Amino acid sequence: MKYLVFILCLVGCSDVAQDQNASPFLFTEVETVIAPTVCGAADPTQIIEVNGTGLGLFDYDNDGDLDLFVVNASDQPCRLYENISSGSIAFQDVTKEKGIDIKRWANGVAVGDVNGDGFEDLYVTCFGENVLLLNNEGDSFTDVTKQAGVGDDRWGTSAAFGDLDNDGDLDLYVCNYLQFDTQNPPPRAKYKGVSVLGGPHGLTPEKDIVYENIGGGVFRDVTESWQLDATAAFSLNVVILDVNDDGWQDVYVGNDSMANNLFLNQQKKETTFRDIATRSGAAANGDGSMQATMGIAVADIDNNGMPDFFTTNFSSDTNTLQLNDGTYFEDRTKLFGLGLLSRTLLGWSCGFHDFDLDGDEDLLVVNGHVYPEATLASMDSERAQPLLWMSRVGDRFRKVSTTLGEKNYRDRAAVFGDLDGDGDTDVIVAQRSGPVRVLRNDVVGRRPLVIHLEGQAMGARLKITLDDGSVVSRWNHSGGGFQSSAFTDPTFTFPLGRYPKKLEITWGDGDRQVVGNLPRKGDFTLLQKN
Amino acid sequence: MYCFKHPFRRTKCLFWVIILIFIGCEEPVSPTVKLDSALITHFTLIQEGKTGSARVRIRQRIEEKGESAQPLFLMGLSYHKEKKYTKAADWFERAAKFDLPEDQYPPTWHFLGWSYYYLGEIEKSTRAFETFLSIQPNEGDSFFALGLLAMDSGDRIAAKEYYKKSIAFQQDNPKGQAKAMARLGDVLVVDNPNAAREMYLQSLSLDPDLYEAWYRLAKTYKQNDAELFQKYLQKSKEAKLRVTQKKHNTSFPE
Repeated sequence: MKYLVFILCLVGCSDVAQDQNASPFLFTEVETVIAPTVCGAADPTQIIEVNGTGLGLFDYDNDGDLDLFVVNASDQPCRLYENISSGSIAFQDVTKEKGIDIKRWANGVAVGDVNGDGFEDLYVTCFGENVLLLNNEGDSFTDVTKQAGVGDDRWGTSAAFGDLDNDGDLDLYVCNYLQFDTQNPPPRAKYKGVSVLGGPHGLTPEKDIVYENIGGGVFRDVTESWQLDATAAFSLNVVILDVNDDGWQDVYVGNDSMANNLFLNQQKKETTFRDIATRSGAAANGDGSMQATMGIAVADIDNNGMPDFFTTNFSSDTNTLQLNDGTYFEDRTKLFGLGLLSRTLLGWSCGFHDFDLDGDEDLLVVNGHVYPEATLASMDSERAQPLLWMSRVGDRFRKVSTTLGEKNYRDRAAVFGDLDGDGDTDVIVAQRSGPVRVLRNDVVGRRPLVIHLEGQAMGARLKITLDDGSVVSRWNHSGGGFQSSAFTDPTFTFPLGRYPKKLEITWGDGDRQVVGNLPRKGDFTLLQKN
Repeated sequence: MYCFKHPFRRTKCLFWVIILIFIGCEEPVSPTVKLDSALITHFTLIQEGKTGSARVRIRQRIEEKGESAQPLFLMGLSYHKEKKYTKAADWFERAAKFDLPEDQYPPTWHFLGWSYYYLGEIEKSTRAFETFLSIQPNEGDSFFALGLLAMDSGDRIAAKEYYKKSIAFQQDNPKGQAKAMARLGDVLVVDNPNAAREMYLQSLSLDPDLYEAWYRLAKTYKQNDAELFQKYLQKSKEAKLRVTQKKHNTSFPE
């Protein structure tokens, strides 16, 4: 008996040791019917091919689960997949059935309910005329681009919806990259002594365009009148949210190799914005260097109730974490452990989510080089690169492995959401001209509080005060995912022993509301009062 | 210590100090130490940016005389000059294996440290710099690097000490001191903006081309002095222009 107890102790000890080394993130790649993305040749020779294509994650038919829109370039059809998960994650291609017929050089997608009917619509950015698809209450989609007046025909990359004038409907910001002539592409350039495809340098940057939703399914160009006509830049990404907690939506634009823009809403009767990026410190990193911003993730890293920005950048540079004190941004990349380890990576979509349900938000960055010639020997960066998983541990982020192992991909886009309704955050990642991977989160832990917002949810800011006085904030922002968009319910997991006391919400149209008696976990529906 | 025990080592130390200065500066510096004539040619070629030609000659030398620390180091240095740190690290690693006192080449560890730094290999970089400092305890640039690594590890207290040592050991290298002072300013700015400002200004009095220090100095005035903020921001832009005009040669920012 003593011998048996001894053996059991040994086995027990061994398990403990294993657990200490185990990854906190438990993911499994799930096989699905989702077709690979297409964006030019396998080995790109022109800059138009390198950015890949985006993903849209949203509940198109309001049946309570998240469906997927996959953007494709090269005149290949964009596709809509309905979530048919039942026990395990599964999708079904419903593109034709839902009347979607987009075959062009499409790049990105923004999700938003433009006509307020409760069903999310889609705006697809293209090289050439962009497309607005109106969702007919989940039954089908109709191309209403011309009627709506939103068919900008330049090189659109990312786009985002937001109620920029607080009038109750969603306006639209579209990033434009550069002027490109497919018949007359730029000559090849040199990078680290290697001959590579030309651009963006030497090409002419484009101005972005902003549309006001004036009702009746019609938009109008307000770029100039709203003073959002900044100097033309190589715009790649945009996020719309209330940056300074004044109840008005602001706009943060990530530019490639140029200063980023932060357009602060001036809250005037006549809507205007002012670019405060340089003054606030959001234009460049802490050295004053402009970076090649691709992905933008938003979270309250320092728990001060203000949204902080994390941006992904080119290789031989680092990703950047800018902490926001409500007025100014400070580069705190190094202090949070997010700097050096990204130097060999070229980052794209990224997101802060509580992957291990331990109460704080972790980080995932997807990576892949733009140059097919990239190798460690030639550019200190591989063409195919691993996912960068970072776990929040106290005041730092730590790189962790996952149960997926470390494989390399040519990733560009990622969206985050609970695909199987088990309460945790799953991930969908798209390679450039390659497979779309569905990563199921298998974490077993505390069940989070999921808040279903009924009202102007897009752009809403949620602040929950816990029983110990600490505060947890989330922004239901539009945009940020590189050329991608996810419209999902905000979730909160609270530290052990802590309980939510009250929720303060600022809706996307500026309405403020306070709610008590929140549950600690499970589903909670919140209706906008006004 | 290492340098002063043996005359042979003193010569080697003088050579690597010159190499460190050469790498740290944009202006080429001629080696003044007596070297194998073939190695002087290699080194000069690397200085002039003719790294490919240098490598051809170094390979020839290695084929003729076998591997030894200095030619392997110069191979690494040629890639380091090209900012190809993976290849540089490979060669420096090979050079570092020559650990006999008469053949060891101390600068290898220093440049190995920087190569790993630029590859984001924090532990390997730290180890290389520490090894170097165990051989040459008064080398300011390695302390500077350890300061950066400590900041990246979230250890501001250690970073502060490393930067102070870096400043103390670079009395004869104003640009090196300036860089360390600017980074010390970064440590101070979190709690004490006034002390940080002073440090940035000291740094800039030694090297007015340090655009990141102008930028950080500007940011310390963002809340309370718009005029100084704009003034120093403009200084940062001007300094950056001066620096980039001097050195940029690729079509994409690195």
